[in-house]
Amino acid sequence: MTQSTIGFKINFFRLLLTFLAGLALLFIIAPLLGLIIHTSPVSIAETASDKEVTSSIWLTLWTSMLATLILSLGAIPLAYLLARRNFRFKRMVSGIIDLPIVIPHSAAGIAVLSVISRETIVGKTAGSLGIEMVGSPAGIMVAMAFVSLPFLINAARDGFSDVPVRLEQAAQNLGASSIRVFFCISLPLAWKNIVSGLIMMFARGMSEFGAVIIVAYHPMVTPVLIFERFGAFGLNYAKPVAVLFIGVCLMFFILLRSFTKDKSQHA
Amino acid sequence: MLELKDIHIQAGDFKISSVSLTVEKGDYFVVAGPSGAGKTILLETIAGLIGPSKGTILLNGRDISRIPSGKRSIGLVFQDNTAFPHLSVRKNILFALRINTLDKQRIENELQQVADNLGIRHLMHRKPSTLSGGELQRVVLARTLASKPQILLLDEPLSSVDAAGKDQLKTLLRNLNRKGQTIIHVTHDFDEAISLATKVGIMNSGKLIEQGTTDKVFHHPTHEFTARFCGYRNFFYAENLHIGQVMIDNKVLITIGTSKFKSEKLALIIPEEKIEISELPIENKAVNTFKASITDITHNRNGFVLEADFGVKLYIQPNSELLLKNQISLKNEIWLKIEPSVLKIIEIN
Repeated sequence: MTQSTIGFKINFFRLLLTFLAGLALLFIIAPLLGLIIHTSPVSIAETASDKEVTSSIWLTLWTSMLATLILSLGAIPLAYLLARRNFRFKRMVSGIIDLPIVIPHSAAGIAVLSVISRETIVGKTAGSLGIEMVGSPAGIMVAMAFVSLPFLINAARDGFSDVPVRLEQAAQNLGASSIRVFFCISLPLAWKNIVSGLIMMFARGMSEFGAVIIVAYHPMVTPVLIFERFGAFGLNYAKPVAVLFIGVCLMFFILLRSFTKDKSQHA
Repeated sequence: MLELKDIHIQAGDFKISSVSLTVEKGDYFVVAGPSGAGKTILLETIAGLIGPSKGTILLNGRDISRIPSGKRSIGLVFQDNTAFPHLSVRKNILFALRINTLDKQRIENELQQVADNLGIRHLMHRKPSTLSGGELQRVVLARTLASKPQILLLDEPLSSVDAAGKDQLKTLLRNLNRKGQTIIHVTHDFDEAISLATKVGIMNSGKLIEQGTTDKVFHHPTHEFTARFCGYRNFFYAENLHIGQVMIDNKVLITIGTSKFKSEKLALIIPEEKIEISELPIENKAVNTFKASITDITHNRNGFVLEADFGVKLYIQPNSELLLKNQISLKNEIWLKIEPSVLKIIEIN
C-alpha cells in the first residue's frame, strides 16, 4: 500500500515537472512557429528575391563573421591568461568582460559611437587611413563585436581551465617551448569550447540590433531592416524578412554545430 | 651525477627544509615516505617546475637551479596520467622526438626503438582513452625516455597499475636501470622501494630524515620513522650501559651480550617473530626473561599478533599453534624470553 502511494506521488511529481517544462519550451517555440505559420510561402519567396533583403542578410553574415575572426585573435589569448595566470585585479577584469552583456544595448551603441565617431582619435585615425567608421560595415563590426565578445572569452576561458595544468607541465618538461605547448596542447584541448564560443559570438553579433542601429542605420543589417519595414510598412511586411533571416541563422548554426561535432569525434 | 645541496622549498603552506642528496650515475634512488611528506614537490623541484627558495641543484657539476624544466635533461613522469588525450600513442611519442630533431629517418628509428623497449608497438595507433593504467604508464614512460633524459624522475609510477601490471612494470624499470638509466623514484610503498632501489632516502614532513644504500637504510634504520616504515614495530632507542646491557626508557634492562658498541645511544630492533613466550615462568637464570601482560590480540596473515606490555609496548608474532595450545587470552600474564642473538642493534651517532 505504501509502495503504491509513493508510486503515485512520484508519478504526480513527474507529471508536474513535464507540464512545467513543456510550458517553458512552448514559450520559445510558439512565437517562432506562429511567425512561420502565419507567413505565406509566396511572400517569403518574393522577399528572398528582394535585392535589399538579400544584400542585408549577406552584410549581416559577413560583418559578424569577420568581427568574430578578427577579435578572436585577442580574445583567445585573453581567455588563456584568465584561465592560467593569477594577476592583480583579475576578478575586476572578469567583471569588465561581462559588462557588454549586462548593459542595455542601446547604451552599448552610444558607448561605441562615442569612441569611433569622427571627432575622436580613433575616428580621425581611421578616417586618415580612408576607413569610415560611422555608418559603415567597419562600424557595424565594432558594435557587433562589442556586445558579443564576452561569449567567446568566457567559453574559451572555460575551455582552457578544463585543460589539466599537468599536461602543459609534462609538455614543458619534454622540452617544448611555450608556443609549442600552447598550439599543440592547450589550444587543441580547449578547441571544442573555443569553437562553441566562436559560434555564440558570431550568432550574437548577427542578431544585434540596439548597438548596431546607433552606430550604423545604413548600410542596413537585417535586424535593422526588419525594424525599418515594421515601422514603415507594418507587421505583414516585416514578417517574411524575419522568417527568412531566422531560416538563414538556423541553417548556419546547424552547419557549424555539425562541423564541430565531427571535429570532436575525430579528435 | 645529481646533487641537491641544502634545498629549501616553500609551496603554499607546505615547506621542505634542508634536503641534501647525491644520486650517482646509474643509481636507482627511491625516495620513500608517507603521503604528504613532500616527495612530489621535491621531484617537481628537481624537474624545474617549482623553484627552490634556497639551495642549489647540480647536474654533473653544473648548477641547473635556474634552468627551465625542458632544458635540464631531467624527465619527469607524473603520478597523474599525462598522456596527451587528443594524440595517438605514436603522436604522443613523436611530440617528444620532434623537439630535438627534424630528421625524419632518425625520428622514425628512435620511435621504433623506444616502442620496442617498452613493449608498446602494438598500441601505436590507439588513443590514450582506450588504454589500461599499465599501458598508459608505459606510453608516458616511452615519451619521457624519447627526450633522452639523463635523470628519469618517477612519481608513484605503479600507483595506477593493477597487480599483474605492477610486476611487469617493475621488471621494465629494473631493466632500464641496468642499461644505465639513472632513476629517482618516489613511493609510499615499502615493498616497491625495497624491490627496486639501490639507494634510498626516507622522507617525512618535508625532511629527508635518512638516506643511504638500501641495505643500510632498510636493514639498519637509525630513525624510528624509518623502522616503522620498514615494518619493524619493536624499535627502541636505548641507553648503552657499556656492560653488555642497554636500558630502554629507564625502565627495561636488556642484555645485548656484547660491549662492542661505543656510542651512548643505540637503536634496538626486537624481531616480533623471534620472541619466545610461555605461560609459565621461565627459569630465572636465563637472560632477558620478562613478565608481561597482554593488552591486545589481533589477526594477521601469519596468524596472531600479541601486543604485550613489559614496561614498554612490544609486538609479538607467536607460533599460532602455541597460542591455541596455551589458550593465551587477553588479560593473561605471560613470560617472554628474548635471546640477545636475535637483537638487531644499530649505533646512533
